[in-house]
Amino acid sequence: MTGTAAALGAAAFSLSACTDNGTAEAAAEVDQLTAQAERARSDAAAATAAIALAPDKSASLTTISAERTAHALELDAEIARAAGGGATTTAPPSTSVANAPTGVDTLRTSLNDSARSAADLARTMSGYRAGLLGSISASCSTQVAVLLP
Amino acid sequence: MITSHTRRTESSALLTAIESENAAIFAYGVVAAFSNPARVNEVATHTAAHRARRDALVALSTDAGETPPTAAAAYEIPFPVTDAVTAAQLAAQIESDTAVTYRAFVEQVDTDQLRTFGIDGLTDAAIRGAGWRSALGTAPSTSAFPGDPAS
Repeated sequence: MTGTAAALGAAAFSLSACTDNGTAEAAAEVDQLTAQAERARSDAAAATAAIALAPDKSASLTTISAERTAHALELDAEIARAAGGGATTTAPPSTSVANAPTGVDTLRTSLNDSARSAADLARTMSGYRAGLLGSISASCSTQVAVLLP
Repeated sequence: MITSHTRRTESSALLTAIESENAAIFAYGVVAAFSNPARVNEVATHTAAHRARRDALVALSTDAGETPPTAAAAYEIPFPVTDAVTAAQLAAQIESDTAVTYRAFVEQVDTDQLRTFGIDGLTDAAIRGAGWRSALGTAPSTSAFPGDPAS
């Protein structure tokens, strides 16, 4: 039901572009996608920071960081599309500097939460966006299962 | 209008996924014939997982009033399988194809239940695929966007 409502909202937005409902709906989706992009950047930074504490897992942590960065970039592109030509792309937040070294256990927990969060959001969306979030969720689950067993 | 279009898309997503799982089950038979004996349990578990998903999809399709396709006698194997390495490569390929199927499925279906089924199918295939690529020594064994046909 939520999915249908969201799909209809998105369709209404793209057709008339200016109804209040459509605008609110699109703005809410942009916020949700932005939150996912921030999660991805935060995981990427945590994975890089974790190398200091677990140098033996350096290869896996580097891969996780690169994949979560790729997620953030693809989400940014989707946010730009959702916001339409008018909105400026939000610059990647430069606040994620100097992360305190995170342990692998903390990262694992965060990636599990990220997988769940992306899947929950995917369920409320449709089309490309649902597929992208589902893929990001699957990627995070795989990172935990295969790269951080 | 939207409803009938949605139903048609959903039904075709279900039928495509059933075909994909039938092909995966057949191909895992070839994997089983050539794979490293140490991996016999893994191959059996993965085959059972594909069979369980196929059966669940058949039930969903029947519930929706569709006639689910039956498995073909044989499916085309994309490259010759002659030993344990090519068997593992085939298994990795099966899982990558399965992931593509479920990502498309997630994009096409329109209920929470089916999207959840699709995300779970995509996740399981991504994990099994990474396991096979890891066994093959492919680095990295994972990909950022499982189920993306381009990746």
